[in-house]
Amino acid sequence: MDALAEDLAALVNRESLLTEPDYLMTYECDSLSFFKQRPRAVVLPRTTEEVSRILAYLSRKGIPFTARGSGTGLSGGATPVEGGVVISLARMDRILEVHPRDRCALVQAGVVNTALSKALEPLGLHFAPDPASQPVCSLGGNVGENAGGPHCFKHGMTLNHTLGLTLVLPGGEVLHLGGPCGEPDLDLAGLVVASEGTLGIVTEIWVRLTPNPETFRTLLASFRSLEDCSRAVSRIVRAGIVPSAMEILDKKSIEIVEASVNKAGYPLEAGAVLLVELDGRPEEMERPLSAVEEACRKEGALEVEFAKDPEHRMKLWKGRKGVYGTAGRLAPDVYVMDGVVPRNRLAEALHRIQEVTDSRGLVCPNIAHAGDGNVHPTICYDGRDPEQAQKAEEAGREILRICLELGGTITGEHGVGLEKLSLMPEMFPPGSLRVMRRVKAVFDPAGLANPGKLIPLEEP
Amino acid sequence: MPGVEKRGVPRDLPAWFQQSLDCVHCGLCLLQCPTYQLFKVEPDSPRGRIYLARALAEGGTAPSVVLKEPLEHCLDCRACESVCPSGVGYHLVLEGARETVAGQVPPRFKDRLKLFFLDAILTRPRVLRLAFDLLAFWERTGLRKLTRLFLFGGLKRMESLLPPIPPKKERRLPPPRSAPGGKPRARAALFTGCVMTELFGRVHYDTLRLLLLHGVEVVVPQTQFCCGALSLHAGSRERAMELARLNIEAFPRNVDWIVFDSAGCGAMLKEYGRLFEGTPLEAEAKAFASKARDVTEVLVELGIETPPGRVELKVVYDDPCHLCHAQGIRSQPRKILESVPGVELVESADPERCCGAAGIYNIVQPEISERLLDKKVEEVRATGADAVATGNPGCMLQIRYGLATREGKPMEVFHPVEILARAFEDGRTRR
Repeated sequence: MDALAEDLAALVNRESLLTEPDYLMTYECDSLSFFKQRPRAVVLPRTTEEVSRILAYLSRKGIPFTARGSGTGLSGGATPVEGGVVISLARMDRILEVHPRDRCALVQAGVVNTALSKALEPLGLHFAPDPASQPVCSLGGNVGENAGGPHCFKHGMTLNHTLGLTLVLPGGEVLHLGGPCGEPDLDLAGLVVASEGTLGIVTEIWVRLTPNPETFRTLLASFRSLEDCSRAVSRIVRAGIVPSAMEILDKKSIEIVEASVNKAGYPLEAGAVLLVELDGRPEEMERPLSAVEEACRKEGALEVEFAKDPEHRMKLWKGRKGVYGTAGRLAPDVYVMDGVVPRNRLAEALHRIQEVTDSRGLVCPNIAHAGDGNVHPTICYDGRDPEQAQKAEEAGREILRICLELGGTITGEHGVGLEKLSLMPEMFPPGSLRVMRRVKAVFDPAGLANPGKLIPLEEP
Repeated sequence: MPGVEKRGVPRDLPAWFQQSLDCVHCGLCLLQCPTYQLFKVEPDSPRGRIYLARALAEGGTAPSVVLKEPLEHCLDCRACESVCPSGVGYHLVLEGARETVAGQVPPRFKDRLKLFFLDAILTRPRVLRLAFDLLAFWERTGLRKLTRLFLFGGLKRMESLLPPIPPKKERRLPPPRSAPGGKPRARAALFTGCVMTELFGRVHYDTLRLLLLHGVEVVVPQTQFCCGALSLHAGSRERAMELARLNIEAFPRNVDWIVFDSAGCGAMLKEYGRLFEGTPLEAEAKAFASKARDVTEVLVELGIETPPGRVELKVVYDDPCHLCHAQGIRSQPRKILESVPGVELVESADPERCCGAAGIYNIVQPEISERLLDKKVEEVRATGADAVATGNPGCMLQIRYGLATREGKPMEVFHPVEILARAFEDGRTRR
């Protein structure tokens, strides 16, 4: 054991520390395996106090650190930094307080998204943001990336469901920002959401809880083309309806889902399908539902199918949520993009994305949270072939530039991480980047908290 | 995968390595994995183990004791495969990696003991019979009770895992041929396995009786062998293939099904085709595997006859991993139980999570096994059921042991077919 390992072991205990090179290797990337960096050690604290002790020590030694939840992030936010230590919050998995009447709960950062909702089920409450990785991803990770999900069109992103945080600053100081009643003035908790672990480590979260909808109505409309499908989305929104979710899947996505364990019964002959869900009280469902159906039919829907029962609904959703993993059957590596375009330019964006990948000979199933204009092209490639890897990276960059050109942004919900760092100067003017750097310096003057992520280090 | 070409995969690497390439590192398997749930560390997750296996094949790391540990921690329960959107054949990756490591890391005393136990006793029917005869003698003479006083540690645990040795008539194989009354609807061969016969021979007789009652003619090859699963999972592919070959030779070709009542053996029998891929025996092995069926599958397919009797029992069904995750069989055993008048079937919180038996895992990894068993016992007790039904000898032993060693009300453990057979036994209402 080297000196660092011995010191860390003294701060926590041997069980909470990994130092064997083989074990460290499994932490060298998160779900984005594009970037790899082996950490010097992995520490698994169980309490805020332990995190505080570890950060105090690391800052004395000038060692950078990266927080990690379940490692399901898609932009390299949890990729270790060179010479750095990974602080895994996976063992901080306790729900500390639940206040059903105030509709809030205090949880440790390692609590898994659906684990919280499952625990709350008897109370008829849940945590609304529903990223596709929700059966595994941690709430701390959701806060770090401001995670969204299909149902965020109506219910909002993680930011809208975070009332307060416990933040450990790089020097070890513990801050309590906001609380069960939210942040009264300057919303510092809000600032920490989506900061991707660059301001410190969030160890506890006050989350807002949402009552479970009385009913869901889910429909699947199939279309000849992506264009028809996108027009239907605009028509639904124009009609003033706010579905809880609207998801587009293109032909390739349909194909791979139908050949996987998550087979959902999507029609194979369709050029695209639209999955729409409404939630609310039973008596309020019929009118918007028929309006959605009508909008789909007016835009040339080939078929409109309603979920028959809760099992059928689950099946339709499982298919959608499995697209990314399922793409692994197409090639050894998968690069899931995340960009946003104005909703009315969705068809154009999807069309141009397809051109970008087709022209490079890359297979790329396309899915989108259509209501938010949030596109998730899934580029399949073989990372062992440097030429293919380069093509995938180029295509990704070009796709994000298309998003910017159409008036959108380079991230909807996956964060910037390492992946989109170089595009930050294209997205933000120098003044904004300067302010971001200053904000980081206020929390983290020595630049040890996940450096080199989200905010480009130097003036461009 | 139809219509979709997998690009960029060289064809000359071992099959298990190709499987590892299907993993996109999404992590959806993490929370399904019993060992990740316990330790919350990446090397003890399916994703982490695949990462290590891939590095092993590509030369990113070398076999070592350190690498071996997380591979050995794996229960091979295959819960990860049930949720993997990319359809990674995780067990193939694991077996491949274990084999590679086993070939290069000198075995410890514990490993050698394990392999001796597998090679010299468990997989040799006559030696196994003799061993159980000795155990029966040890029990009948009262020596078992006596030794119990002196046993400690691992041996004490093993003693309590072992249930009372059944009477000799239950440990005999059923007759070579039994015909139903009337013209047979189908012809089946019964696979009896190793431990199943010695400890749960009564289940074989119940399986036989039910098959006959449903109009199936049953043959029982009198010389058959362990399915080979335990050897394969221990990284000893050669021995596994030898046993599989012996079984393929021992079973008649002119049957519709090869029926088993042990989920673990069944999962292995269904893999025989893959085991012999690229060898002269491939076609025969595939034919054998295609006929393998769990007894609950067969009965549901035939249509379960309504039994004349009742069994007043509240039962919780626990899914054996190698039935639900490896074979995708979930509804059939439940249908068997529901078809019994008087049975109330209830569900526990997580019936698909491994109980910690996992072949001989409960003996070689006692600590992890006990922790998983704690959870299992707590969850089945919480249902308030009188009995647990599960269709695999390892799970039956483990859960019986767990219930006996943890406080709470006594519960019985059955194979689902035992309960159905009981309702057929006579018209009387019994418990």
